[in-house]
Amino acid sequence: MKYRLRWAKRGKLRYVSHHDEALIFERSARRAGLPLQYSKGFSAHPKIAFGSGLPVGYASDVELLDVGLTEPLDPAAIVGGFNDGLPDGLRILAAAPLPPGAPSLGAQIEAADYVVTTAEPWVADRLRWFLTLDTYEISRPYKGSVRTDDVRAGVVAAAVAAGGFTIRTRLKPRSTRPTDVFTAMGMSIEAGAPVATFERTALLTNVDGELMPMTESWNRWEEAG
Amino acid sequence: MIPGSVWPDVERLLPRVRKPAQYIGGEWNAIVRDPADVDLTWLLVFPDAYEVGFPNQGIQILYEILNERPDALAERGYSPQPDMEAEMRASGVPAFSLENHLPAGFFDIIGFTFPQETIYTNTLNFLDMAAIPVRSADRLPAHPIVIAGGHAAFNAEPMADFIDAFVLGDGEEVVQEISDVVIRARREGVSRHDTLVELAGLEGIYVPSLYAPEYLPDGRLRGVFPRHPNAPARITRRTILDLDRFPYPKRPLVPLTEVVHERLSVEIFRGCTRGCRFCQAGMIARPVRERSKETIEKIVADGVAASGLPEVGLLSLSSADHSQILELVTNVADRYEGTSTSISLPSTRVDAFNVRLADELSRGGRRSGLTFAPEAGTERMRKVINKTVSEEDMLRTATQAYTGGWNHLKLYFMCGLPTERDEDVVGIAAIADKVADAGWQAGKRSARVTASCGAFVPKPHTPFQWCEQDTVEETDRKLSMLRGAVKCKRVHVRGHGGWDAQIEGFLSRGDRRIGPVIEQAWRRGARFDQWRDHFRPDLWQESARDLGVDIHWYTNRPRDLKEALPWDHLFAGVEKDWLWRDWERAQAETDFDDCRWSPCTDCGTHALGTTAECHEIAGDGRIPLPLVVGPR
Repeated sequence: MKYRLRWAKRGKLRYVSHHDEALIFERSARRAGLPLQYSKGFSAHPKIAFGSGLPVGYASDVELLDVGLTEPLDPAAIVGGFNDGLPDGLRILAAAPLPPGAPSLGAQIEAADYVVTTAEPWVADRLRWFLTLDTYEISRPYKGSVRTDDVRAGVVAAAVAAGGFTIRTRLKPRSTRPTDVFTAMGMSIEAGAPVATFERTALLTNVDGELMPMTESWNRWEEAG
Repeated sequence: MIPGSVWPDVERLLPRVRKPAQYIGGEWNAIVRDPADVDLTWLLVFPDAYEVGFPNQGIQILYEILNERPDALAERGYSPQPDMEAEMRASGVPAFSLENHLPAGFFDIIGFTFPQETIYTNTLNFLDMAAIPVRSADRLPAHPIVIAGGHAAFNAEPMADFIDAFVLGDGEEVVQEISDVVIRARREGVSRHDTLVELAGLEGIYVPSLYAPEYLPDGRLRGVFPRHPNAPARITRRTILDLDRFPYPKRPLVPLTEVVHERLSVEIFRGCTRGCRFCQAGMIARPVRERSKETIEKIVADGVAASGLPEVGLLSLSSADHSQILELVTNVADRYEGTSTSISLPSTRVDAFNVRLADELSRGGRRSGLTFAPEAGTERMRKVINKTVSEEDMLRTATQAYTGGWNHLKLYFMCGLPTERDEDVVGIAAIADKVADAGWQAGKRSARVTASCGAFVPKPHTPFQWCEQDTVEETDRKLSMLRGAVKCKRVHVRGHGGWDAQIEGFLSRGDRRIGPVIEQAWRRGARFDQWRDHFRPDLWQESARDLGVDIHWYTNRPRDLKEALPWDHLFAGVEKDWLWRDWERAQAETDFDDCRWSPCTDCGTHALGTTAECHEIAGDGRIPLPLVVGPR
């Protein structure tokens, strides 16, 4: 029996990695005695799947994960069970059963919205400049070679907002991060750099050619329609 | 005055460092209390990277014990990794605790654990990053009292200039006594010096500033002598006889990020009397003190429930030696049958019987690697080190392991053991070849062997404390001879020795005169000396040379019975006479059996007041092979 959970990452826990999160959720479920479903085979893994890793340091109230349980449970009991064992900063906000055959988060999630907060005055100008570009490539070392990505192509939209900017980026084929845009705007995260905070505000999926926010209820649009 | 949290300053650095989660605290079962509510604050520090230090059991136990006191609290600290250190120093962020992110200098007591000697430079670095003078003599009343314990504390002299008080032996009781003394001293306005004098009056505490070393004209030590009426001439280590009185961990810390061991560790006994002559742990933690099966099972059950950890490690120096091990493992295995909780016995001697045990433990799981530790390549050499096992038994066990589905056997050896000849080194290759062949014979086409060979480092309080350590050149020669002697393609040799073993030996058997070398090496940048990628032998060589200290005089020189050793005034439970007799037995290639199932050899442990317990430890007479099943 599969459930889709919406969860939040805040505070000091923002600095745990995506890989760490999976273990933290597993252990909290074990402490609560939730009937986690495990994969078969030599090294059994719990059936917990994430759609899109939240970059280290980012806050979010809109993260999703799918978890397999060996028996059906009341969504409220799942939320409570996880939360009893989650460290401060990680919190399950909602849960809903997932019908058999529902597409995976990975298949559904296409893009994401973020809010970037920074006190730096240059942001508005730099962002407008960035948006005038056709391409902006950055190269990074990747598994022994160098991989080049077009950051500009990964940005769907961006707008100056009070105290920073909002931005919508693509997560496919590869995730474009607001941090990359920040870098493209000429700011690195090196010593003495201004501080910005990053928060993801929506995970988006493609519904009839339009990007729509995902929630734990995977078929919300159908219901609404 | 309680300072503010440094978290906002720390957080600003995190986007720029690797593994930021190592600096956030917030682990499950971490205990965050308000310093305003207590009279005494401890900072327990493992002076190595978080990922290495986090699983340490000593800190886990003392952390819980101290936090159970209403009048004291304990927080934890670890060494920032080099990238974080650079950021912290550039921004003026001090070393900090993980619970409240308080500057380390705020705490009343900083307690370091010294599991081995190569973390001394990290210790100085931590103090310096906490803005605490590294030298004890330079500290002011407001500075924390700096304490150190752990195995390496049994030769305290190399760090005597930097540590205010050493704790010898088991910490469970003495941390309470230290807390009581310091709380009262602060209430009554006792000076820093007089507080240390009071601590020196506690059993098991060595306050080096109350002692002075004297040297002979030829440079050898005359002895380390007390210089204060309250300082005992000999400090006897603390020994907890009944481990059931301390059923820890109760609420095991669970990491939020990757650390070297992610398991619920439960100590099933302390001490070991097998008498392996190279093994310091087996000499300084006598006698064997078993925890009862009932207590262990309760700790396991409560710990699994409180932690959610998927693996239970039953720990000791040689876990299969517990008198009720089979029942214990069966009970625990039954309890978690059908769940995803697994059991492991790290540091377990494995004989034919225990290969079956290992099979049981890995039921349905991966059987990738089983680790054996014959330690030496020939029967003669194994008699010298008193780790006797016949080659025949070893091969029979290997065959059984391969037949049972294990693919990869890892063999641990040492080279540079006393009396070693070239044939003993070549013998390591021969055994590795034969073990691989046993796998082939057993029909395992995928049978692989890794022979790991480390350079032997003589340790204080062992029968080998008098012997010379091989030089770097000699170790290199032996390791390349070993590589050349291996015939089988399926045997992989991993050798390590060279300068890291030399510096470890220098720190292990050094006296108070090497303290300045440690300080100088650290000032020149030595850090994380046990990390292959950080260790800088050149810094040590230059520092020693500039200070006129000859590293080789400490490492490559044999001592005799008459020579005073820097740790003679620290009594670890085994008498020096006995160690010397055992050193003579070693040179005569005479082995002897564990005193749990053969007559007492009068090692001196009974002087710890343990006469009865020393001989009443249960044992079934079974003599397992000296083999180890590792956690994969």
